[in-house]
Amino acid sequence: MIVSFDWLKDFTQIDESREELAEILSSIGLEAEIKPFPDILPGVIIGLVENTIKHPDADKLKVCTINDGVKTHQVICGAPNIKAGQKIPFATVGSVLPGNFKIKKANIRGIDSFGMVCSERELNITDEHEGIMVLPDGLKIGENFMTSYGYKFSSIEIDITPNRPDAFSHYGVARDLATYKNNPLKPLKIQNAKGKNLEEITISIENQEDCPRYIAGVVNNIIVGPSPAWMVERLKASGLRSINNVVDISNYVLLEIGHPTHIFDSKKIKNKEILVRRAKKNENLQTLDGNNYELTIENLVIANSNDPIALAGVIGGMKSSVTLDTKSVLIESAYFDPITIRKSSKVLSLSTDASKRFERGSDPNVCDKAFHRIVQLLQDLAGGELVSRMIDIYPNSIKKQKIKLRKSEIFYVLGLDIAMENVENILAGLEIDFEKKIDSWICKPPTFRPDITREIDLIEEVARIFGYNNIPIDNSINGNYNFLESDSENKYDFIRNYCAGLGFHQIYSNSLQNETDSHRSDLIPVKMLNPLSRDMAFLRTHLIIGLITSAIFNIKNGTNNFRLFELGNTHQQLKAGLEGVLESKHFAGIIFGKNSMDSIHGEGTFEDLYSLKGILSFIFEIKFNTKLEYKEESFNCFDGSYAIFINRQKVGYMGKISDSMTSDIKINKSSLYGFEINLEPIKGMLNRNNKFKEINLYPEINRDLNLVLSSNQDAGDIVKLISKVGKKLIKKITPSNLFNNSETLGLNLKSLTFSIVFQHPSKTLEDKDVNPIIDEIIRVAEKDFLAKLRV
Amino acid sequence: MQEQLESVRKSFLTDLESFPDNSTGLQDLKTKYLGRKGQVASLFTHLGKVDNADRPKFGQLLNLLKNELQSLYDKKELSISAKDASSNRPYIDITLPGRSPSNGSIHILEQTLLEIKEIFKSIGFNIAYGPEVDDDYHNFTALNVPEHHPSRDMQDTFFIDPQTVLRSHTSNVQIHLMETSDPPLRFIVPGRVYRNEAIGYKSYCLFHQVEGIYINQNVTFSQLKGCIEYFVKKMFGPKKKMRFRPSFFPFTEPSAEVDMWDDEKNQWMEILGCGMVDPAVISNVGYDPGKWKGFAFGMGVERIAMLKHKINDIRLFYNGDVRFSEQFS
Repeated sequence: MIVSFDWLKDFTQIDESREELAEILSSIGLEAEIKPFPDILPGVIIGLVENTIKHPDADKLKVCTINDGVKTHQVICGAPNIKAGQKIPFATVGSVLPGNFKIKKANIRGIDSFGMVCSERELNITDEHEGIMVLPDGLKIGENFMTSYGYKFSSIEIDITPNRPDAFSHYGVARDLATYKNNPLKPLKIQNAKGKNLEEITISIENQEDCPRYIAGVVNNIIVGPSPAWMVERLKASGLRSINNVVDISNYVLLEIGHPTHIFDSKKIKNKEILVRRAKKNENLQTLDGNNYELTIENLVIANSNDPIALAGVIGGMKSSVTLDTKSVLIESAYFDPITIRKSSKVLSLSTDASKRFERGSDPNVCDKAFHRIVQLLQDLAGGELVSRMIDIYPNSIKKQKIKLRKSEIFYVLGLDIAMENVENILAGLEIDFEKKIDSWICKPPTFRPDITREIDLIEEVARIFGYNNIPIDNSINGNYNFLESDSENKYDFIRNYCAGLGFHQIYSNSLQNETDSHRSDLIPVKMLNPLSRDMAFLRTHLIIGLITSAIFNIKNGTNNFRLFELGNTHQQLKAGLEGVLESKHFAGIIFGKNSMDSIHGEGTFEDLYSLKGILSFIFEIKFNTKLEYKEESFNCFDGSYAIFINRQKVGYMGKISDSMTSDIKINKSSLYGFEINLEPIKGMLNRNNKFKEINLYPEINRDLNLVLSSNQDAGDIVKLISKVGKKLIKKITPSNLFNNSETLGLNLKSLTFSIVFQHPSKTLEDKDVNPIIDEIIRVAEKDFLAKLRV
Repeated sequence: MQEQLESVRKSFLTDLESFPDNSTGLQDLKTKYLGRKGQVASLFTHLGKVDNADRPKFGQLLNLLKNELQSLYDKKELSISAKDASSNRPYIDITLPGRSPSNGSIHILEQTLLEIKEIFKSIGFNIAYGPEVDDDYHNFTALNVPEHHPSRDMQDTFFIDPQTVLRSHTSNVQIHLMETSDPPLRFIVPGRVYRNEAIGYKSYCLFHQVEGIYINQNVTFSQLKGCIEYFVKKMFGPKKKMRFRPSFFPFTEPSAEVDMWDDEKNQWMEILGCGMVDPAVISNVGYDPGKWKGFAFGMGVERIAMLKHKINDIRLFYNGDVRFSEQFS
């Protein structure tokens, strides 16, 4: 809500600058932002347009003579609305407009121009820039524009929180301010209008709960026309455009006391019969904004002879609206149920100044005041006369419950020992009636504060006005210990650190994906009911897609060597509903390019499947002491992929990223590999509680065993055999050399060297201990794997 | 005898002085003076010809001479061998770049989260986690956000079905925690949360939040202020200027927003929201609001990281740009 500085001063004394006032408002819970506004504009003065003649060489330009009170200036102006006799804001040569726009002497199509006639936008007052700003007559020519007139548009924008309907008006903001400063709040001067009983109005309310109060009255002899300057200026300062005096009056009262009212053209309401009811299915209403809405049972309408004529509490209807021909109006000042209005506004996605106030809870007991204020203004500004009684349907008057506020509880909640007098000033300022007891108050909050229903709400009011920054700081929080693991995700920190050490950059990618990406595996993704866009309608089932997206992004940006990983949650929908949603922590990575850089010291090597295998082995075998195994198995995102087993549980896949996933990048992708592991089944195994094993000081014996094997014989089988035969004497087996040459070895054969390290736990090994083992390995290898010893 | 001694000494010093800086001939020098048939040894043979009375004195002088020459020789030998070694070493161009290990990094949001966790751990907070997909009750209703209340507009929410949401804050975990454990409790809850907001430099469809909750008897707003001040000053430095400003959150009463002064922008920057746990929330989880009080706070890890590292576009966190990551390695 935009609050006019000048308007606020109607209700309470303000000595502060706009900046200071904004600071105060923010400190009491009305988050204020100062709109950029030129507080002083030296050189911009009130000018008088003496005459205008068409520019000889431009159809749309005029050569104007502007009087500054002392002398005249020749100015070229393109505004269509400039006329002789107008008073206008005149920026003289040398002045500087907002946005550091310096006014200089110019030559426009051959004619000199000295200064500029300004539009509202150029002065940063409104966005209006169709024409120049035309000023009221009374201003004195030559005076500074800002100090004599422009100051009226100085304003502050306040972000009203959902609990504060009362602050949605100048009067409400002034009340908070007056309370904070302990200044008096000037009462609203509203006279109760005395109506004649010439017109009858019939009001029926279908359901009291939707509309607990409805006030109406008819005002005749209306002359619709422009509003007076003071009203136009205040509306403008609050961000509203003037329409005509009748519409402006309703808006003015809304901004002044916060209560939304509606003014109908009473001639368009048959028999002056008003029915407040829910809309029927398939009913339509064209509203004031020109839109046509199909209504539902959630919408509350004002109806007349079967037809809806307004959307209650939200917006008026076009047909019954006030026009220039209107002579008689029907004023509505009602209180509608907040939830009803909220639903009505939501179902049409239509939020208005009125609906925002009603859904937060307006004041049922201000309806009559608002009515009288409207009547008063219609009489004063539009020549109207109240020709009906004020009809007030309010069967069950709404009152607030009494609440006990204990001084001790203020201390227990805030840690603040506050003087009784301070509390009482705050309560009184906020118009909360109270009865003083020993160490407590029995409070009755006003109906314009629907948010205050409990003691804690009163304590908040005390704290808010007293000032949060005046509450002492207590650096002790009472201790209590427990033996819980302080962070169950600590083990993932190890993974992150290992990866960073291995040259991986951790990424965070979007969990929301499109249909194609979220369906790349057999898992069923969780689907959103109201996605932001089709590109983000599902939760990811895997992390690898996000990594591939990042990889493509980096390659496109010229980064050609990288390792990336992500540790994050994935989701799948096992069955319908919340119980069917399974959340799993995944760990995935992608590698590309060279894992050691080309440099003056030598060329780097490209990433391949063995890079991945080494990385996974480092993390899961060396660091976490688990056992890794692989089995060829297809996975949709990979070409040539392997299932990963950790401690015999299948946990994921690794492989070369499928070319189909990266078709929009053209460079060589042969070194793009990735993996994805579901950590859920193994998270209990990822412990780092290593136990010390005695260091074996007995010497090792190293033997190389060179076997000729069939080309497609896996080395792993031989490693297993060696380990089985060698039992505990074997410390380590490494396939250390691979040689393929059909000329020396024969067709479809390869030679593999296994480096074997022997060590005994309690004695020095000798050749006679090792030789029989080697012989036995060779014997079994020859028998089971058709191996031959290469000599 | 005295003169002979002096002459041997002088001759040795002259030879040593003029000796070239390499090892060739070094052995000859040693033989000439200190060898078995060298000049010092021959002086010893002359000792027999000296008077008995003078013999001890000359013997001592001769020994001193021997030691002096030996020590000078050793120094020379050492310096020559050092020079030899350095002249035989291959040429090293130390200005060439080293072999660089590849650079990896932990995401800046992770680093920031670790820092936040560390600060709260140090004042006795445990860390808990909870589901990203949850029911409306835990995300809203239990937290005193009724259906059809304007406070629902404060968080644009993704729905899976009318009763199931992608959590819009990690406060859902507060409810789970309180439902399953007895007070007192003191936790922070980090995690990913979702908002149905258009993506731009300031907002993304998800972010990471750390919520904290402390429930005990005798918990006050003063303590909340102390706790938050501790966090802000640990995170951003002890001189950081901050303020508490009344605000509104359905689950806290009174509620506050905390701003920090930004010296560069010359304005207050919002960093977190907090407040005293609303008694409605306390009773929703079955605690006695007459007995238990609490405070709660919530902050965006992104916001903290952006303020701390002057990052101006939230999207940089999520596109995995290596050029971004490398700056925070």
